[in-house]
Amino acid sequence: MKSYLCSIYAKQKFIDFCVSELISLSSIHGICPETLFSTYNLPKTYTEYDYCEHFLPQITEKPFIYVNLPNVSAAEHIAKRGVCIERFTFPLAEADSISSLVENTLQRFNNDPEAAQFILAESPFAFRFDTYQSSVSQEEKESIVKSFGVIPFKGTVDLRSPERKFIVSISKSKCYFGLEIARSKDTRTRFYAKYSLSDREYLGPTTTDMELALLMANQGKVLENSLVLDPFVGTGGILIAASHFGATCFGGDIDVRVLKGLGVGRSTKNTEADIFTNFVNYGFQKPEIICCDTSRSCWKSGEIFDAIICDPPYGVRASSKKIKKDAVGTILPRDSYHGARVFEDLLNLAARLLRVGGRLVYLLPTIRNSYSKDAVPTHPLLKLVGNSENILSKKISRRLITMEKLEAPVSVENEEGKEQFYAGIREKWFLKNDN
Amino acid sequence: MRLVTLNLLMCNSEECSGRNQALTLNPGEITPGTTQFNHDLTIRMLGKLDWLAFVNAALRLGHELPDNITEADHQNSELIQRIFDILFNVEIQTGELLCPNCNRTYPIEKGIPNMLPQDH
Ligand SMILES: C[S@@+](CC[C@H](N)C(=O)[O-])C[C@H]1O[C@@H](n2cnc3c(N)ncnc32)[C@H](O)[C@@H]1O
Ligand SMILES: [Zn+2]
Repeated sequence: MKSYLCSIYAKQKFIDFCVSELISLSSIHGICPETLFSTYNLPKTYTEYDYCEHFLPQITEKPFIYVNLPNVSAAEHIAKRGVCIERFTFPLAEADSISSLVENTLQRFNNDPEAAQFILAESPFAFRFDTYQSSVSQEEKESIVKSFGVIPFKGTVDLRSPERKFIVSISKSKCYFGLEIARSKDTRTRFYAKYSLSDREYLGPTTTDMELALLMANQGKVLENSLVLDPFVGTGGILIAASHFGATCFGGDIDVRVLKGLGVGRSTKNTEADIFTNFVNYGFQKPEIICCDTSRSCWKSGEIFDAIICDPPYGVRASSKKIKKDAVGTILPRDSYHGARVFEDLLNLAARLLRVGGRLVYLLPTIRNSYSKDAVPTHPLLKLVGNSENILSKKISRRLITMEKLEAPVSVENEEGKEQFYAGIREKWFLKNDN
Repeated sequence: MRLVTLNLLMCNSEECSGRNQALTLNPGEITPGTTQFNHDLTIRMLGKLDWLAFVNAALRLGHELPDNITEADHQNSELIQRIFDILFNVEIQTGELLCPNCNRTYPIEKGIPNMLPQDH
């Protein structure tokens, strides 16, 4: 195991989910959170939720977390696909001021042969600066570089294409010095810039934000050849993210218009566009699309999917519709499909269709002052592995819920009260949002 | 819709609920797909498919396949490629899915099967 310093991409608008993302991506490499964060000596009982609580409060000010990973290639993989992750460095020193940073680096150099070997390598190198919530002028940077002169770096300086990048990270309260070992493919524009919604030929009012969709696919641990289902597929925003990671995708939606581009969901550029258009444009395999009612699933039972990822209908942006006629044509009471029912159906679907270890990832709307952990839907075959909050306003937020399919059922506390809790959520959300 | 999906769908009418009832395809327009051969994906799918239902569906479209498939067949790249093409490169644009149990039909339009209960 190696200890690296992970820099979080602090400008990410979904930074609330960065700890969850780091945990999920590390688990692809067989690392549990306890090992990942062992540097911090946190209680063994910590859940993902507790880790988020622990790291998040100061992350925008000091977006660094020490992590343990098996090797450089795990770090590379995580940096390449992490929405909230900017880079990993081999840490050389940490300090409260630049002068002690230099001192600590020198000390490390003298005492740790592994660290010394990075400094004594012959390859071309350069210094790079990363500043957070503090500005450092060009002159200051030059003088900082000069002060590092006490350390006997070998190799030539090459500012254009250095083989070794030493990163000086400066935040308000701490500074760090380290050798970059992995970083996001394109730090400036981010790797997902090419999926910008505004360039899509097919787009609807409820198309899931691309960064959020990628984060969700990361929570779902989507890999090459994963089978992924979005049972509320809409315009396919989430499946585009899953496709980026090489999944074979399946989607269902009750609204045939949003699938076929009839009046809704079509950009004006191409009047022929439908749900498949964006996938073709991005060079992805076309998803398999079914028009169906998720509350009356038409998928055979079986351990088919590796991940079920969705943004369920709970009002606010898309209204929940449920077919009003049953199979033989009797009119059912006009119930709108929302509240606890949506989530209950979704969890049952996931329990029925996920392989053991497969993941259900979805967004859960919450009214902040009435939220309690107990209100998160439960299922005997699904274990909650992630629950992090994305605050939208003082009053409302949405939670990114991640569950994992178990081999055998465990008992869950009784469900009473949840129905009550979610019954009014749509109305409450509407109210809060309209005001 | 591709044949891979046909194999995963069931009739969801009240009458057939709980039966995992497989559907029969009555194809209309079929177009060839362009999905690139993927050996690993095919092997993964083999573990999930109802093989006999797949063989029958393929046969109705004129593709013959062996009655069963063994571990050893996984090395038979010609066969795996053929299975892949039948699973992923036969795109059913129009047609209908028929439930042999309750006789309900579900139309396929623009490549999308409509599994909502139809007005009869
Ligand atoms: C929040 S949107 C999802 C948007 C989607 N992620 C996208 O990128 O376009 C919810 C979708 O659920 C669909 N929906 C509502 N009730 C449904 C039901 N009972 N079964 C299946 N889909 C349903 C709506 O038509 C809508 O497209
Ligand atoms: Zn039937």
